[in-house]
Amino acid sequence: MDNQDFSKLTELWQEAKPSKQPAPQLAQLQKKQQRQRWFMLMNAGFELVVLLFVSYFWISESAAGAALPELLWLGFVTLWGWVLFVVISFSRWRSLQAIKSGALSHSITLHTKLLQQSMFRWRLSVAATALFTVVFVVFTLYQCGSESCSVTHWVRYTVAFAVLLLAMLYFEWRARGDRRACQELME
Amino acid sequence: MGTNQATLEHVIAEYWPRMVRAAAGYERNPALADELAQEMAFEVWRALAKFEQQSALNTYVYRVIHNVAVDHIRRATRRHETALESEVLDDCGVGPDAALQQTQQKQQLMQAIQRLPLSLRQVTLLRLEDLSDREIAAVLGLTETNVAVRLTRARQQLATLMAE
Repeated sequence: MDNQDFSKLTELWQEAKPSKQPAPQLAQLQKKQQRQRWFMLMNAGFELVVLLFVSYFWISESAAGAALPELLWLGFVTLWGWVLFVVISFSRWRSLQAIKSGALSHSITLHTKLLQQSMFRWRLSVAATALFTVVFVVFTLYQCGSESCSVTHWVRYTVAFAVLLLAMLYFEWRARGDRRACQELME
Repeated sequence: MGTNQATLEHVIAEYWPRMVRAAAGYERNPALADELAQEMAFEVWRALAKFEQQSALNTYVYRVIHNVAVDHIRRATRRHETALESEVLDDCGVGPDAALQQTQQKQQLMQAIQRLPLSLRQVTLLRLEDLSDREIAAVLGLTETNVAVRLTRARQQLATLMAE
């Protein structure tokens, strides 16, 4: 394609005018952005509250002298939650630092790094959920082996197991989406 | 530049058609391209408040526009499911036959651009808006030599894609 051909394409391109596009709705976009910020803050706050609640429950059960399997299970959930929360929060913090640096405006490498952080969080969620599921299954089998489980218990455990599997599938799907976007940016 | 509301609105209005074209070049789905253009306008509006003449206004605005587009690609995970049909751009008062031909050419150009790899698509979209090699280099944070190499490759690929 020579310069003349490209000039024709430039003319053709610049002739195009917006037709159906409404004018920019800045006020609405500003509100949307504020909502998203609130949502992110609430999400982090919710995770922290749940963790504090589980930790409190574990401590109060220990003080009340609950059975060892129950204490082990609650201890695992508490430890699992805090480790995951700290690692994910650290990754989020690194992403936020990258966004705040302002270098995003000219660095595709930085966008790629953000995607890699995001992929790391999704992959970690898959691994953590898998670990949780394994421990949950072991705990369930122990519970039902040592004392008989009713049909209601089995239904409850099966539903919980299915939810965990679905969560893993969702995390994996998100990680794949990030990987696809990463590949596109690196083309 | 300051944050004079009238000035901001004037700049947004002036760059709006270019944002719409850029959005259509980056996003195949017309509805998502609409959203992307809106987002570009919003980010330009926000960025202009911080503009301190450290670069030319044109370069600064394009940098923001293309940054939003890259951000959009980063976040969009369902892009590959989107349709190729796009009727975002309009004709400019020509006869029915000529208009039809022109529309087809525009569609062909748009589809060819959308199929370019991101690195080549970026330089092509900026060159189609008449930016010089130096300006493109400033917008994308590249060297002029790199821009020239990318443009040559982009033209070759564009010619092949448009001939298909």
